[in-house]
Amino acid sequence: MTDRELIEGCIREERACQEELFRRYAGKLLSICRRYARHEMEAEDLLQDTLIRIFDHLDKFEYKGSFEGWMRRIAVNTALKNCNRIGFRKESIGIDAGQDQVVDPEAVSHLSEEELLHLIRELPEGYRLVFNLYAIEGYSHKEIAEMLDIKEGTSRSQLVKARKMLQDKIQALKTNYYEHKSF
Amino acid sequence: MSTNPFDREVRRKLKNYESPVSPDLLEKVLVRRQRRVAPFHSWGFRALFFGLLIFGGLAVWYGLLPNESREEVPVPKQKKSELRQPLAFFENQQEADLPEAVESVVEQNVFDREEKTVFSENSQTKAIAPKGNEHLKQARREQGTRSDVSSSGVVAEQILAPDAGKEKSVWLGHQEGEKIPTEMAAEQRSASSDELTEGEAESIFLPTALLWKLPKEAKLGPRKFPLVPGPRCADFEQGVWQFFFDFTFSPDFALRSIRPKDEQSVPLALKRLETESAKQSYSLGTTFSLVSPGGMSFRTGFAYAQINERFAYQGDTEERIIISIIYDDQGQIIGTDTSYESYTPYYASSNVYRLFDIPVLFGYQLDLKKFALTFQGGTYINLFLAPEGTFFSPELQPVSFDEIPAFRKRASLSLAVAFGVNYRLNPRMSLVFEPKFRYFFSPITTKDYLLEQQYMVVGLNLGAKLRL
Repeated sequence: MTDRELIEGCIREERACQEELFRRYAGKLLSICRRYARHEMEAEDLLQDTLIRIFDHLDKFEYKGSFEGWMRRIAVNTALKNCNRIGFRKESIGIDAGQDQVVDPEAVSHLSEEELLHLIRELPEGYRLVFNLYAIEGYSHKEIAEMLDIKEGTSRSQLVKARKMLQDKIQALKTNYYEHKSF
Repeated sequence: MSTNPFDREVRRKLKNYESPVSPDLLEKVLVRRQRRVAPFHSWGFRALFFGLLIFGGLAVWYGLLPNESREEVPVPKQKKSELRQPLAFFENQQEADLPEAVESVVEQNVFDREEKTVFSENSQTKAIAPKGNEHLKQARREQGTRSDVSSSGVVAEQILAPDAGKEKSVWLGHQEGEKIPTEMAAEQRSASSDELTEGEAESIFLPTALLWKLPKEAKLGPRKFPLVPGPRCADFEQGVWQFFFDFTFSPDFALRSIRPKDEQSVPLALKRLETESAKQSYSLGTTFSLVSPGGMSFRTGFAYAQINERFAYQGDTEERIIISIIYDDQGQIIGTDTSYESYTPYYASSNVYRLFDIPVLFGYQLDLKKFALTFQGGTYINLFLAPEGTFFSPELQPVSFDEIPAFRKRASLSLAVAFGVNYRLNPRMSLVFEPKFRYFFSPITTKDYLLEQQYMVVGLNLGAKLRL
């Protein structure tokens, strides 16, 4: 079944098409929600809200781009709607940008996806949002600033801090792993 | 797109990662969607909502409309020449249809007292018209066409102001060829120095339509002219059935009781009491009231109520390892510092209970001059809509309301009592301040659920009441 057939079936509220859409994309959408949510319950709530919005607005999809990309944007927007943006204004700006490359990128590949997701979720909310939007979703700082109603400079500084904190965590996990292994 | 190698690696790892999804999640989504669609997104509900909105808007518009703009007696232009003695005040008026003559003025403060409106064809009281605009309608009937007016004379309006036995009145218009009462009154004045004895009529002549044209500050001689027909005194009609339309909003506070049905359910009850707390609730609605001549009232309509609660709990204490990397002055890693930290995750969300109510209230309304006091009691028919939120399951795990059939869906009744004060802004519109109390006769939980959850609600209805 093509995406178009799937969409048209869902618009007609056909249960089989809804199940197929869920089977194909719910896992990916849940991964997005988990990156933005603070815990599993919130992630599941976000996924539910995302799917409801997708089913509600399928008739507005214009087949101009990727269907998956369209759904990912809905998931991200739903997550952003849910997040607490006050956290940004309390966080100070400015960091030594020279220290953001402390972990070999290869270290990431040794982590499982679940471990990486877990580490990202441990980031403070502001860091987590900016890192997700910039590093994974591919938005520019300008777009992030508009989406989160913050300054571009804030977005940049949050990204650097987020990246550094994540690298520290990866390093710590690695260190911990080797310590355990040495026993 | 970030070109940082670290970002790129994270993106590669997570971009297409699929998390395992609970297979029943689709069912939950579809159920939630279905509940959300009905009734709020059904066409029937929309039609009802917009119908009420339009009706409310029309009622507000009608209530705010000044009386005089609803009914206006046309001014017969050809009568201008027949009117006498131009009044100084009206000489400055620009409007072509403004009559220019007023015979004389005797009384100065007609509107200080309760007023009655009387019509006469022959400058004599013929019938007492009912309150409101009936007299104007009658005037139109009596006027007919302009030629009728000129042939049969101008319809006159007399405003009587009885005060301690002294009848005071204002005559408007006159009969052609007839000696008008003010002339007679003037003759009486000149004939006798004992003017305006008790029981003597005081008269002023004005064309009926002039009533609507006179500004408040209009003066006739040294006295302030009082004939502007607004603002009026309270226009309560004794002996007439009255029909009201209310629109109210109420900030509410819901008092909840949770009772275990057996001893095994006590821990669950305690857990729920510990983790759920009241938040600000509200209700809003429109009602229609019928008030008898004796003040007895019946009130019904539609209302939407929402009870909000906060669900918050702390999870189990967990421990995490924090490893800090130590850098030297050149930014090189020279070591790490490991510490352990205990933390307790905290979760919070909102629980929402929604009700669609049909009030059936009986009561009494006492009308005072500027206020009306109301007392009402009766029942609300409560239709529970699907609640949303999180609570603890019998296994003491936080779960969504959807996962346990704890709340019933059938209708129930609640006792309602309200004591209100209505402040009249004008004869048609009042402001409503109405403290209220509601007690739900039965729990909102199902028979099979381990606890009984029941509510009392106190609130303050604030809104507007329109007399239809």
